[in-house]
Amino acid sequence: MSIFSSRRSHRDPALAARFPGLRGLEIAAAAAALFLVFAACFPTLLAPFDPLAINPADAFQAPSAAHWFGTDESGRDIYSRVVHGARPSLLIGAAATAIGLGLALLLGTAAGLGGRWLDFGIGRILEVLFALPGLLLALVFIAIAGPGITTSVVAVGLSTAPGYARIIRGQIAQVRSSPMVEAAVVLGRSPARVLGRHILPNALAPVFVLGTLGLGQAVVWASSLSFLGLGAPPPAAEWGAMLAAGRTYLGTAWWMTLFPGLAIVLAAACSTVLGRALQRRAVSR
Amino acid sequence: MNSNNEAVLRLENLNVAFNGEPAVRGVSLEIPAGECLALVGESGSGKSVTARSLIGLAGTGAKVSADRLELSGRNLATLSQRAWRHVRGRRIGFILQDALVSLDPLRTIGREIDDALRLGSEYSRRDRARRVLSLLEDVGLDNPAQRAGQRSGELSGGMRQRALIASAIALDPELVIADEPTTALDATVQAQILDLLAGLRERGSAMLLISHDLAVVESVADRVAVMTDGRIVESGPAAQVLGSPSHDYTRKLLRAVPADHARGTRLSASPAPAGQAAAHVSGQAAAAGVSGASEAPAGPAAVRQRPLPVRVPAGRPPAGTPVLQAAGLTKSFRTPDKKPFTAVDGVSFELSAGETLGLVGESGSGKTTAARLVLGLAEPDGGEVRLFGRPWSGLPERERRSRRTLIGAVYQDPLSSFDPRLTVGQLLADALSGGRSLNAKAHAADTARLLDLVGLPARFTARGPRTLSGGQRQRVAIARALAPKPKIVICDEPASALDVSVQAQILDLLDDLQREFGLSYLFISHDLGVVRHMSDRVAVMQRGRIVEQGPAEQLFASPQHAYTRQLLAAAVHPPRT
Repeated sequence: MSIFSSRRSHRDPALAARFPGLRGLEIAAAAAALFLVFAACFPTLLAPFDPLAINPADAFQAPSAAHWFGTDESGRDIYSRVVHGARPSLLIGAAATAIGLGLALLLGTAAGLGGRWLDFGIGRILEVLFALPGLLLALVFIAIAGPGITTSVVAVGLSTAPGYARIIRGQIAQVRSSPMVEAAVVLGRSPARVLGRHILPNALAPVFVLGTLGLGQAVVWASSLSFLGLGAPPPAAEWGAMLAAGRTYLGTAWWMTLFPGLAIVLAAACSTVLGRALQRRAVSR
Repeated sequence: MNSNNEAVLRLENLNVAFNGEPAVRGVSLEIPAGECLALVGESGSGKSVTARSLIGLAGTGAKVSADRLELSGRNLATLSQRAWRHVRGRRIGFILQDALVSLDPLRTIGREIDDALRLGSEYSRRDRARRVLSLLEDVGLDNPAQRAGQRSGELSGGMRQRALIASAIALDPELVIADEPTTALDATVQAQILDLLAGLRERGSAMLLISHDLAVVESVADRVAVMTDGRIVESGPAAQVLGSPSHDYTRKLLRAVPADHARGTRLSASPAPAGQAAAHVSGQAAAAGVSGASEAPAGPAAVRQRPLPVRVPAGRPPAGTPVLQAAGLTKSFRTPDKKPFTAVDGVSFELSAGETLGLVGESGSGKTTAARLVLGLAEPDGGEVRLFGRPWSGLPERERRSRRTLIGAVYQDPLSSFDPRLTVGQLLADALSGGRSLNAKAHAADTARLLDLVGLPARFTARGPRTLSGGQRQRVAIARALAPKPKIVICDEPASALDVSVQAQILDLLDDLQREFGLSYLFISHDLGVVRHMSDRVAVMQRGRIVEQGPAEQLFASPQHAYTRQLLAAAVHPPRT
């Protein structure tokens, strides 16, 4: 897989043997990812308070035994809000990545398999999309479609699609012209069978690795949109929105921004470490 | 030969191990000035590791020990890395197999050689510039002033190798080590490079030539050492070792060289090559599995054990029934700079049932394009391919597909022709079921029979092709090609990437299978010896055209075309046995 081969040089087994910590990091990332997924599925099991319950008397409390991560301007428990924030953040990230990959799969496959003109046309469209920075593309879409969770999911998906599409197109074009496909044609296989059995599975395996890597990015972008007030509406427990709310009080109540921020970093880091681990496995296969 | 008896290189009891796994065991060598010692062996024999140890580059994780390692009386065994740098390039020149990767593609060859010269501080800038030109002239590059300004990508393979040799001998090293210096080159270029190497000895350097190719060795070496499994099993004057070898392994190597063995004689020494011990399924069962020639009296297991001094004509349809006809094939491409390039130019040939047509030519002569046209992987611009008398080229792929089973293909690099996700069993099941099934279990019996046919045990079904050796992979590729019971097999350099003894086994296998099933082969190779051994008729290709074709023996005995004569003259003559 061409996109990985360049990494082989500094990610070889000898290196892994010399730095056993890499292995430990992967296990830690997997555990953290499991924890986040658990929080997203069963937030009430982990969170001691209602994330939306207002209690003005407890406003701006620093982290303590009762409120691990402190409380916000309305006295809501930050820890509970961070736990409850896992679900929208991860859902938005996963849905956006799925939309991005799906769209990229259509465009990339069409470009990789279609004739010269289709490849040319799709290539130019992707270049136009590339010309706009990803987040700007998402903002443009939201400006047209209006803010909200659904729009921000679609927006993030749209803005990640061109990158994936490029890679899928390259992979498919490469596998398509490989001796293996030629051998299948010589054996008399129909185009549909060659595509389904040989081209797609071999071309897409690395794309799923990229999807894992991209998940973290999607979470960050979704949070960014919420931070700008374009995603989840204010009272909702969502990491980006919490960051935005805490920003005003950064000087007095640092915990309001630190903990949601750490959650975002954790999610993104997990996806990166796990994606890399998958990548290494794909290379060594 | 130089009368100077002082040994330039003296190596005693060299041992190299990687991770406790010995790669070189107790190798001792001695090379006097002006003499060439050839170290011969197959891949994995430890010859390259030996050579690299001599320049202190055995590799990371290598444990190297030697009782004695002396260059002109100076001990090298205890050198530090820093001291080694003074020896490399200056006192020992190293020539690698692939000049394309050994030369920096971004630098001109003049600068590469200049770099080598700069190691010796005695040259001024102007001296160096002059010396670069004289070196390029010494290695036989025309127009040195212009060549010095070119980068490796602008030069042909032979010119690159010459440039690399120039940089290796720039400082007149006492010892020149050449590791497979001609393996990547065409026959005519190979002959020129070998002449050049032979000439280097006259400068008084000692030379260590590493090669797997006995023919190459004989034309240059004064003495030969044969290596296998990390040990030197036989050494002595070239004429003696190659002429009357005393060790079994040397004999096996010599026997495996196909050139001087007539069509139909076996190349591999043992009747059942490695991996076939388990293949003792009865002949009848195997024959029933893939029945091509019903007349075949016995299965392949039996065939394999029978010594076959003569070709068996039985089972061959009457001569003159062409199975494949190519008439006036033409195919052109556009080069990256938009110039039209005619790869195949008016090529016509016929292949009859049970016959092998050898297609021989140097790289770029259009052999592979011709094969792609025949396989229906590319459409000819002009001319026509007919398969069993019916049109084959010019049809939509949909109409060709049902007849694809008639014609199979075996490639030079089998691994890249396998889907990396599939096991051997799945690959064969896919081929057996016409692509409908990947279930190796459902086709277990047929798969085992196919594997037996190519001399592999049935347990290989669970293996991934990556875990197999080169020869085993090619066997799997052959089994897959035979699964749909083709009548014609296009073999494109099927054994070129293999060691000579493995090559011998694969060629023998192809021969047996042809006899067994009455197959017709279009056998493509750049190796005259291999083509001569395999073919009934031979067509010689040059620049997209067939310049000569005819019965193999006749063509080799009295070549008519100048290019054929040139090719034959360039082919280094294999040692006689």
